[in-house]
Amino acid sequence: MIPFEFDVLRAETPEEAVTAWRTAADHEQTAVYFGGGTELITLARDGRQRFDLAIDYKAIPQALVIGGSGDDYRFGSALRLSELGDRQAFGLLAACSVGVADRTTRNSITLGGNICGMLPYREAVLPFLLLDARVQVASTDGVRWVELAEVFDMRLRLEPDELAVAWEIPGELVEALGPVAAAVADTSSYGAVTAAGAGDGGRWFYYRRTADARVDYPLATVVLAQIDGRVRVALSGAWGYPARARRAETILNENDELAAALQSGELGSIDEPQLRQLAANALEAEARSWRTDQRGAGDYRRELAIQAICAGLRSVAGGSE
Amino acid sequence: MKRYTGTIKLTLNVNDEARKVTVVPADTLGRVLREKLGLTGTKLGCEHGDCGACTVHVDGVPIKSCITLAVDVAERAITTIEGLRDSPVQRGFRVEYGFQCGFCTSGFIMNGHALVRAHPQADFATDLQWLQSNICRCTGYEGIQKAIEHGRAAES
Repeated sequence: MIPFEFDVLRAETPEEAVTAWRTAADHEQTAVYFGGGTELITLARDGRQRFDLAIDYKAIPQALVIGGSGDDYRFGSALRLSELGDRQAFGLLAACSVGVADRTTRNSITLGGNICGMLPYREAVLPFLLLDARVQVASTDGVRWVELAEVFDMRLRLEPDELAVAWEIPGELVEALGPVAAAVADTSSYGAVTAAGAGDGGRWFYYRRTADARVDYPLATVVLAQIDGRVRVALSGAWGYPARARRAETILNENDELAAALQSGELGSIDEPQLRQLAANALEAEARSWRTDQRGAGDYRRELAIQAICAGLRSVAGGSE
Repeated sequence: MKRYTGTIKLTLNVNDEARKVTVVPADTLGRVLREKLGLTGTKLGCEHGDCGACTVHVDGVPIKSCITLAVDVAERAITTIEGLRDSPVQRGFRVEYGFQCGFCTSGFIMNGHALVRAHPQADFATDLQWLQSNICRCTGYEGIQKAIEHGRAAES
C-alpha cells in the first residue's frame, strides 16, 4: 500500500492539467503528471517518490490521437504501449513499444509515461529521436510545438509544470519507411529480438537484447533507418539512456563504400571485418560511456551495439539480417 | 475535470455488479478488491508489477491491479477471477493440472482467458508475449501452457 495520502485530478484539457500543477505549486504542494501509474505507484509504495497531487492526463483528447493527421503522424502521450504495438500505426514505434516491460504492464504504460518517467531507458522515444520529431508541450503560456532535438538530452528537458501532450513525426519519413513492420523475429539467441520494415523510400531495423529473460531492461536497443541512401541511428540501454547517434551517422554516411552499397541494395563489397570496423569507428565517434551494471559490462554492451549496427546496416541495405 | 480527494464513496462495476466501497485516492485496485470487497481470488504476490498474480480485467483488458489506482478505473467494467465463472481456460487448468500451490493461478487464468479470446488461433510467439506477464515458481509452465491450449480449443 502507498504510505501517504494524495489527491487525483483527471484533467480534460491541457490547460486544466497545467493550471492544476501551478495551483498545487502555489500552495507549496508537489504535483506529478499521472499516466498509467505503473512507475509512480511502485516508487510511491517504496517511499522513493512522494506527491500531493497526481494529475491524470489520460482523458485529454489531444493525448489520445494516433496515426496520420494531415501531413504528419501524431501519437498522444496517453496511448498505451500495447495499443501502439497492436494497432501498428507505425511499425518502428510498434516494435520499440513492444520491447518495454511485459504485455499486461504495457496495457497500462502510456507513451508519455515511458518517455517522461524516471526509468532511464525510455525506449518508446527512439523512433521520435530518429525521425526529427516534434513534441506538443502544454505550459502556462499555452500549447506549442517544439523540436524534440532541442528539448531532449538523455531525457525530456521541460519545465516542471510543462506537460508533453503529443509527439509528431513528419509524414514523409513515416511513409518512406513503410508504416507497418515487415517482420518481427524472436531469435534463437535468448533475449534478442529484431524487427524490420521497408517503404518506398527506405528501410528500418530494430534490435533489442537483454541479459537472459526477455522481460528485462535492455543491454542494448538499437534502431537504424536508411532513407534515400542516408543512415540514421539511435540507441538506448547501451549508454543507459536514449540518444540519437549523430556523430556515428556522420561516420557512416561519409563512407563511400557504404553509400555505394546502400545505393546498390546490398553490402556485398564490404566484408564482415570492414563492416565491424566501420560500426566500431562510428560508435567511437559518439564518445559516450558504456553502461556497466549487474546485467552486463560496458565492453559487452559496446560489442552488442557493434553487432546490432552491422546487422542493421545489412538489413537496411536490402540484404537479410 | 474531476478530482478525487480524501475519503470517497465510490461505486465500482465489479463482475457485472455495482459495488459500493469507501476508498482514498491512494488505494490500489488490488487492495480494494481483496480488503474492501472480499474478492480474495486476486492475489498480491509482489505488489511491484512483476509477478502478475494480481491480474484482473478492466473493460476486458488484463491489467495488474497492484499498480492500478481504484479511482483510475471507477467508471470501467472490472472482472476478477470470481467473475469468470468456470470459463474454458479455468477448466483447462483443472484438466491439465496447470497449478501446484495455486497462488499464481488466478492471474494466469485471467491473462489466459483474455489471450484466447483476443487470439483464437494458436500462435506460440503471441502466447509467449502475453504469458510472460505472469510468473510461476512451482510448475515449470508446461501444465500452464497445456491449460491455455485446452481453453483455446474449448472456446473455438
